Amino acid sequence: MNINIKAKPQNTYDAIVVGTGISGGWAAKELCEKGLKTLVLERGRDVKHVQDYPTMQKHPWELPYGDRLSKEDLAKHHVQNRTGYTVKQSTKHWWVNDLENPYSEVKRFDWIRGYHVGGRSLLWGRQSYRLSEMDFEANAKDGIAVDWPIRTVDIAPWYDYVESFAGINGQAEGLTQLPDGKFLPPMEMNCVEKHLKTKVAENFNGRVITIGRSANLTQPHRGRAQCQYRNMCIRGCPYGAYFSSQSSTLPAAVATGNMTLRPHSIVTEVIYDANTKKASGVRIQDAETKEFMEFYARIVFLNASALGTTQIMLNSTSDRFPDGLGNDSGELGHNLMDHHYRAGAAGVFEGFEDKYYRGRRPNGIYIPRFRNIDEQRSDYIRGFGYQGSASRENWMRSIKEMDFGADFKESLTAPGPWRMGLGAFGECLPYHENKVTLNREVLDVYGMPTLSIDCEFKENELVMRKDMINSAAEMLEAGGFADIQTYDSIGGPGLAIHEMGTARMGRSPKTSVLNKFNQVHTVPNVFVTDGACMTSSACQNPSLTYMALTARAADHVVKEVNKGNL
Amino acid sequence: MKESLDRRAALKQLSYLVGGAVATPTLLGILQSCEQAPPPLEWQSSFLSEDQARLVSKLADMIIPETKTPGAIEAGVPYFIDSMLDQCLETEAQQMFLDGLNRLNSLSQSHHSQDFLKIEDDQQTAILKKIAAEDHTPDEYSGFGRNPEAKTFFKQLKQLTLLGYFTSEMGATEALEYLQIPGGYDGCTTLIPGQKAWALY
Repeated sequence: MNINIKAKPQNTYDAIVVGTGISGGWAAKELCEKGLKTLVLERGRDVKHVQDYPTMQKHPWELPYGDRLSKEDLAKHHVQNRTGYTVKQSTKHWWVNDLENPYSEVKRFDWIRGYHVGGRSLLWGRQSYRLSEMDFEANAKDGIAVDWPIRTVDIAPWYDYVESFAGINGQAEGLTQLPDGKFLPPMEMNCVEKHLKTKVAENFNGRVITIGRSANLTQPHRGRAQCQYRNMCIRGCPYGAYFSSQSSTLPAAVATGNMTLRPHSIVTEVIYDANTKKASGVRIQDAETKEFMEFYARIVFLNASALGTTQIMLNSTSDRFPDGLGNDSGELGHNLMDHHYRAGAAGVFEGFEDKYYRGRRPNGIYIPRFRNIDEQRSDYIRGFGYQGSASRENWMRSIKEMDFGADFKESLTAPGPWRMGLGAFGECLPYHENKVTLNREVLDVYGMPTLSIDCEFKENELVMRKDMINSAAEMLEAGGFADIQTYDSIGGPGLAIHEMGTARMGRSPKTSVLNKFNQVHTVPNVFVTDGACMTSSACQNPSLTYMALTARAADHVVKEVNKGNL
Repeated sequence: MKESLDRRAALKQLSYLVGGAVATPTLLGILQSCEQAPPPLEWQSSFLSEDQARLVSKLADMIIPETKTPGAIEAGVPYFIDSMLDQCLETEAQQMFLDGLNRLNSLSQSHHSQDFLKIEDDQQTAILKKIAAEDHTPDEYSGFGRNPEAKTFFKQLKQLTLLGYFTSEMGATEALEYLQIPGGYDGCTTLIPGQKAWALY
């Protein structure tokens, strides 16, 4: 039986990238542009830019059930729908079928996924913020978990690099806790947002409200058209006006002639070669033919999402690594983090009745972290940032009222009062006991062990939430808002769709899985540059950091190859 | 396939069955005033009985009547409500809705000894107001999104009627201002008197 002798040469590449989402797309682009023949594996179906966005131009009346899910849809997406906002008739084709993609919740964990080329890069919220020196220093300073092996000096040039390519709009503010980037022109705030910005600066010692920094183009950029302000990004953009693998990185990879993209390829494990002490490639199962195949390469990038990558690594066992690839530390699968959010306040603004807006801005305002920067609180460590927006209420405002009839109908055709909400995203500490493990009792439809997730927010997060809620209400109060209502609807971890930390970076192989270049400490030709690599979560939306770390790791690969080290 | 039968198709079917005219409330009133059995329902209901469907049509029309702009019936809302009841609402919510329809008829019977559809307009309005007041729970429900299930019949009725109407082509483009591709963003415009709210948000 020497099938592989024939197959080996034709299944051999310079590099393999597992996953096509935000970080996988970047790995593909960077490795291909550096001249490596790269095989890009995606477990889901192919999605071609524009032509495979079936709902991008649909009018509301062309979507059944007012864009709400049917009972049948809900059964297939009962976990995916826990966000309450992501799964609709216009987007349901993007989210995994929960009946076919089981996992076990030791405690509630909301695992929200899209299995297709482009992954969640098509679906993300596009908020793009840099981590600061304070964030990289935090673990060491607090004596929590392990120290990040990098500082801003290591990553700043790579933030510059990925922002310049992706196209991030924003306003420079000169804040140390939220470094500025290479920004396209900022989007505009509306009247009420500007009003609150002024009042908050006046009343809270210069506290900043800035316009969100988002991966939407505010001017034409590298052959992509600018945002048309439809705010239908999640359906796929016909203009390529937001960053996705489809609009941005995969076309760059294709242009090199070095990329082979293989959808329907479920990577089951990384193959470890005990002789070379490196990975020789990956084993996959073809989702359509169910056939198992092997592909070989000098370099393997794992970008299957934090939990997807971790699942592959845990399933990659060998005599050398009985507990999962590169898992000498025992940290693989541990330190799972997500941001905790859905805490904040909203209020009505009586005024600006003669003001409105035109266009649907796919972005909100941002209030950078202001806690535990200079003054330190005694009740919790780390901090949070707010996202929010003001708008005039639409017809939904009337559902709770008793009225009906002609006058009622006419009143609804006019814009309602201004309303503004502030919702915080808080940092979650890396707790060793928050973890995923392989569950060999529950197999997926392909026979692969599934994940069991045991994760919870703890005291620091729960105490922080009280401040998240109170501070939001305080700011709205200072802004003169009325009818201020606070909310605290924590849900399960996972709900922010910012899973992180299960193969963390660190300085020592004894306490971490990856080194400062995202290289598996003990399997140096395997790189992990998705959310799994995060040593702490900070409170900023993390995707921009994955992009920067991926580009940096790819650069390191080529340097190492040239030195003969890989 | 039922899903692919959109509301415009339902409307075409409706106008065909009533002889080319779109069934306005007036027309329905004329038909109902006959002593004979009510005419066949102008559209195929999936969940509601024909009697229930007629009642729902009347209620949708009372909430969103025809004014300068089309009303709920012309916009296909009764068909929409029936399909939502059939495909989207859980059993408990379906039952709450049906119970609500029965409450209307019971009130009508006890006050006027006739079913809701047979009584005068002002009597119908009074009964629907009474139901609205009974079902009023001001702080419990404020919209869609993360709180999708209305907790009382009247809120269900209103939610379904408004959702159906304002996402219909007539509702979105005539009652509101529909701008599919804004092309840019202006955060601070001056509201012109009479300017309609944006249909998309």
